[in-house]
Amino acid sequence: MAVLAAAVAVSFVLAVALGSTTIPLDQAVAALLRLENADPGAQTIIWTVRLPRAITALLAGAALSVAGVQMQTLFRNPLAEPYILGVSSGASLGVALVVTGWGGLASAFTGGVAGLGRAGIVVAASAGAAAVLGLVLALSRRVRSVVTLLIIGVMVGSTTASLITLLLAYSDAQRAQQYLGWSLGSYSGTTWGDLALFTPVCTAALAAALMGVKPLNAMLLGENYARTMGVRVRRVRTATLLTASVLAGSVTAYCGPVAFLGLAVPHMAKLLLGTADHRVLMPASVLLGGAVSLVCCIATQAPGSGAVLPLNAVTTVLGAPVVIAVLLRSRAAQTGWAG
Amino acid sequence: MLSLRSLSVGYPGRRRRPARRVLEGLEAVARPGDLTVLIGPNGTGKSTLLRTLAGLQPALEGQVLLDGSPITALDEVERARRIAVVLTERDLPALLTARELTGLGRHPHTGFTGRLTAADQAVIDWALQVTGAAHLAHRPVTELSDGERQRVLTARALAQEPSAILLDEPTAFLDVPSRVALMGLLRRLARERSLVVVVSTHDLELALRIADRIWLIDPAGALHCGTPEELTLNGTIGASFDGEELTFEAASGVFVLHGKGRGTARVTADGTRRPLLERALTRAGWHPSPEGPADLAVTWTGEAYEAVRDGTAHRFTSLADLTDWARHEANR
Repeated sequence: MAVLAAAVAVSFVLAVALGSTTIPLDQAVAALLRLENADPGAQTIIWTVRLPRAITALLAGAALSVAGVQMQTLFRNPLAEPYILGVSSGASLGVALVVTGWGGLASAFTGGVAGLGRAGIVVAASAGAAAVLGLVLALSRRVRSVVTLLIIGVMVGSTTASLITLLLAYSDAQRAQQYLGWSLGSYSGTTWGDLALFTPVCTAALAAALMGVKPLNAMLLGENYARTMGVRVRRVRTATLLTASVLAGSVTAYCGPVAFLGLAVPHMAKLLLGTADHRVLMPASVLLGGAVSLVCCIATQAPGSGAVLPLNAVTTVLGAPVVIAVLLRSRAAQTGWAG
Repeated sequence: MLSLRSLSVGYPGRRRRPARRVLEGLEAVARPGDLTVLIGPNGTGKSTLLRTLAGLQPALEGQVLLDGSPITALDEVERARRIAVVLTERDLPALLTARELTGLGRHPHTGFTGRLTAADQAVIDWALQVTGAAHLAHRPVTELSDGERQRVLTARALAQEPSAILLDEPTAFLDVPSRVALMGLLRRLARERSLVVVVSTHDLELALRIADRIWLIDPAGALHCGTPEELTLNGTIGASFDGEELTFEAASGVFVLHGKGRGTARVTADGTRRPLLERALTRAGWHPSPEGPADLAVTWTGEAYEAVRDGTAHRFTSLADLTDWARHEANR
């Protein structure tokens, strides 16, 4: 755990120090601490670009990883991830509506920015995610089995995704391109104003998730065993879906549908720590998720090259080999395990 | 003391569909210190009854009382402190050791964070100890054999420190020695801890040998309670389980297979050879009759088997040859 915390600190500093413009480390530290001899240019870059970006990466990584752990345990399925119930599809639909200019209602709602302003996108994504979350929560009250709920969630997600393709098929190339750009995910572009809302929402949901570890442990044996151990299963299910979706939805609103972290980091954490005990797994996922996300953030800036890579390409290209390597080395994975 | 008072179990009706009653008007008692074994042909509702007793599904009518108070009157945590279960669900999470799994049983006793205190650890140690699973403590549960797994799941139930444990088919998938050992363990736990133990099983012969009390659900859905011997003597066991090919033999407490078109066979032999010969002939399609005239007479001469059939004598040096011949004759 101490190692993980150190990894977070190191990657955070690196994420601030490295970027498309090269700033020497001592300059970066000086700028960060607002020392008097700091270079004003470096100070501007660090305080308006890199620091918000690093904080966003840290929070988003932690949020997606924790939501991933919650979903994998709730559904007892190693392929479950934060977006599995269609939260990010809902957000994407909201954004697609605004970006392609189809949402007469939606653009009126976002104050006529017609999908071009950042605030419009955040509001549209949040509204879309909230709509899908509300639908899934309403359906979950009527469904007894989590497997059924999982299938319903996947159906809702697919329906939403197909609505998006429909919208894109009838919009001009420039707007489709704009939507595509958003859907690749990005930690850049979050302002201090964004963080003023994103940070409290995220930390509150993370705190709620960390407080729910005891019933999640009981859920490891399935809902029936959990019930006989005194867990109010429906309440726990609703609370878990709610926190996981708020985490995933808020990340999608500010960063786009960031891929892969929510699926991969929980597995990395389980195999690194060799336990399924959420009292250890949850805090570890916060740290590991933050660290992995920061590393991906650094990689998108391709330090020294001046190019900026799409975030989702980086998370997957960096993450997939790591997960496969961890799996191949792990005895637990070799003998087959179900999350 | 676990009591069933005019209990009906099944599935509640939904949207104009009527409720499906699986069992009705059940009256029974399971006493602390007794091993109560629930038996009945497949599909009679043993699991539905156990699930209802565990509070996993509501009773349609009537009540389940634990030490005098209805289980529906207890809140979730209080119920979990009194009743623990071992279910038929077999997929266990990976990356969980036997000890961690047992520790999950402390759930209704731990505080908000689920932290295990020294007292909790002591209960876990004890539960692993008495179930004979202490040596498995640090093994991942996914790597355990079926028998070891059931011991650990029983330890988890014990760690809940309940006054009643309900087990649904815990001996399924186990080999014969593990079955006997697990049932023996459950009976010992019932005795030593004064626990109510209700266990369902398909293993009728073992149940009749080891149970203090039997709850038998017959094919008509009626629940009969009594000691194994009572239910055998009054013919309940035979009436419930006898089929076309199977008869329950009250005296030996085992089921015997019988073929069609059989005749009677009389066996003359010494020691254990006689019951073994009788068993071989029964399997071959003959009905052993100790006295009187028989269709087939088999005698062990000390060197060979002599079989007399329709006045003709046949001689066999090996038991296998005799069995083959007898089977052929029975089907003639």
